[in-house]
Order: sequence, then C-alpha cells, then structure tokens
Amino acid sequence: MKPSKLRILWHILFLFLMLAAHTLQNTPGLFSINGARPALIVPFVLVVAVLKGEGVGAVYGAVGGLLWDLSSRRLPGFSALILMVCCVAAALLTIYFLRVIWFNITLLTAAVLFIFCSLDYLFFYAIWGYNDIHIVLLQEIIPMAVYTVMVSPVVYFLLNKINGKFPVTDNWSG
Amino acid sequence: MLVGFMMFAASSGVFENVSSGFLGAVVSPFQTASSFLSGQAGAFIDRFARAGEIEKENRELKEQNAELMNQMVEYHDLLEQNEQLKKMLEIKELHSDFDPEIASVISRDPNEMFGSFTINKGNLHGIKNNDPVITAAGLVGKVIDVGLISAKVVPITSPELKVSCYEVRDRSVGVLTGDASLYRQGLSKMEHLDREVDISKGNIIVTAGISGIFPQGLVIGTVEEVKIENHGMSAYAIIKPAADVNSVKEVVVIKKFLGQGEDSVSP
Repeated sequence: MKPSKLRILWHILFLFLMLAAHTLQNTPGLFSINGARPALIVPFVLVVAVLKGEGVGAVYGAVGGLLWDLSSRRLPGFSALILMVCCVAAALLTIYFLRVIWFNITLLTAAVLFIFCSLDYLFFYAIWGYNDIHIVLLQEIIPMAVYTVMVSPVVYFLLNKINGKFPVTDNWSG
Repeated sequence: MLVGFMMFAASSGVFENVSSGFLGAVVSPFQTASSFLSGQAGAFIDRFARAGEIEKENRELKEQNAELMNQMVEYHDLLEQNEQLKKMLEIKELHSDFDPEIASVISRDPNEMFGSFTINKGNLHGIKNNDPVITAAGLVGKVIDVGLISAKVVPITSPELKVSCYEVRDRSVGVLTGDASLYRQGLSKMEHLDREVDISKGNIIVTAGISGIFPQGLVIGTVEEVKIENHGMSAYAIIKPAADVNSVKEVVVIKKFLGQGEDSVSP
C-alpha cells in the first residue's frame, strides 16, 4: 500500500479511536471509582503527539480538546488550546530529551493534567467566588487527574500496539 | 434317574432359583457392560446416521435462541418505554398544563462542573434554554445550553442555579442553591431563611414559581437539617432533593407550563 494511503488509513483509524475514547470517558458511570472517572482524551492526544510528532500532535490535541469542550460546559477552545500547546511541547520533549517509554508518558500526562486542572480550577471555579470551592479541587478534580495518570500507560500500550501495525512512513506532519 | 431329577426340580423349584441366582450373579455385570457398550456404540453410530437431522435441529435451536435474544431486547425496550410513559402519565395527571418531553442522560463529563449532564433532546424536540428538568419524584434542574439534538442541564445541586422555593407547611420562603461542600453528596441548600424559622427534618420544599422559570408547587425535596449562617443573621436548610440528581438516567423536560416566563408575586 502507498504511504499516502497508509497515512489516510491511520488518521481514519485514530480519529475513530479518539471518538471512541471521548464517548467512553463521557459515558455516565463507566470506569467510575468512588465517583471519579478518567479523562481518556488527555493521554490519547499525548500518546499520538509523542508517536507521530509535533504537527500531528498539535492537530490531534486541538481536535481532542475541542471535542472535550463541546461535551462539557467549558468555553469552546479552552481545552483545545491547552491540549494543542501541551501536545506540541510533549512531542518536542520526546524528540530532543525523553525516550518514548510508558514511564515518560505517565510523567507527561501528569504534567499536562497539572497545567490543565490548575487553569480549569482557576477560570471555572476559583474566580467565581463559590463557598468552599477548594472541596471541588480535592474531591473532584484531583481524583480525576490521578485516575487519568494511572490509566495513561494502558492508553500508551494500546495505541503503541495499534500504531506498530502500520509500517513506518516518513513525513507524518507533512 | 435323570427323568426323576427333572421331575423333582420342576415340581419343587429349588434348582431353578439356585441356577438363576448363580447365573444372574455371573452374567449380570457382563450384561450391564455389554448393554452400556451397545448403547454407546448405538449412540455413536446414531450420531453419524442422524448427523443431518442433528445439524438441522442445531440450526433451528440457534435460530430460536437468536429470536429469543431479540425478543428479550425488545422486551426490555418495551419495559423501558412503558416505564417512561408511566412517568409521563404520572406527571401529566399531576400537572395537566405541562408539555413534557422525555429525555435520557447520555453524557456526564468526568470533569464536569457541579454534576451537570447532557440529555439526548434539543432544539429539534422543542427544548429551549431555562426549561425545567424534572423526574416523577421532583425537580432535577434546568436546561442551560441547547444544541440541535442535545442539551446541557445544570442540576439543583449546583451553586450556579438559584430557585425560589418555600416550605409547604409554614410557607417559609427561601432560595435553593447548590454548595461545593454538599453537591457530591447530592444535597442542596435553602438560603435566606429567617433565624427563627419553624422548619425541621422531613419538611417538604417546593418551587415558588416566582421567576416564571419553574412551575409553582414542584417538589424539590425534604429538609435534612437547619443551621444558622456564619454571619448569624439568617438560617439555611440542607435539602435532600427528591430526585436522585447525581445518578438520574431518565428525565422529563417541561417545554411549556402555565405561567412560564411570567413573574409572579410570592406564594
């Protein structure tokens, strides 16, 4: 099969997988542990970024973030912007400094979630002056982030396995 | 002598019992084994002989099984539909002025603000912003963001929502809202109550319908506890919503009701 056709096939498959991850993360009650559920879209776009480079990572980060924004009540573009920047940064880090191994993916997911959750808490909770709002951070945002970090190696192994089925093609970002 | 022996045996029956007992003991195990082997062999051969018939039977059973599975799915769908219609009827009987639309909760974001959720009905079904969302048990929240075929609902446990309400027995008026420390437990707060308010655990809270967003008299929940605010000027009550807001799966959106959009005086 031609490399261009392979690339199209890869994108179709991974966009479908991203939709599936988004659907799973939003299914009421699914994967719920004491009310906390993982945000699967975050490790998904990060893994795509480290596997395929900053260009593809930026696109998947933006699309994944936008999907998340549309299904939540955040300002459309908020998650898209953060995830896009984080995916580019993660891809560049793995190109120049880090090896693509599960441990580094877990660390990157933790770092991205730290940035995302801090901004999310600041803009959507803290500045509105609700009473005892730190409870949301402790009981909702942090458990979700920890759970997501814990499932990130699984997401990495699955996506890496699927990606490995495709022959190596150059110029993914082009 | 032999003839005599035969006659004796025939007349007394002693030798018959001995011979049959002896022979039975010796032969019976072999007969059992033989019968077993013959049965097995028969079944083995029969299996081949009836292969076509068995295959047909197997195919028929598989078809029957698939049909039964489909019937089970249909049955559960009908059961669900029936439950939904029952709820709708219940609501219609209680409030004849309501124009209800049944909806299912299809999405709950893992990082959603104060337990908001998405339902599978939107603009195409006549749903608008601020439409009240209820169950047969009571008020759940209101629609805040309508898409073509979906809408987002903010629940009464969210601090973003404020609902004028009153206690049915002594008509103490207050404002129902959510609280960050309570919403995870599925509880709300009724604020701005008089310090000396005479309400206690179990009292029923209903909507006042002052703003024209919620119909008057919709059950919200019951009082769990009454406390004095930190500033000491007023009291608040912790309310347990009648509807299970955090895990509700089916809701009813009220598209129209008497007095919708009209401001009214207090109850």
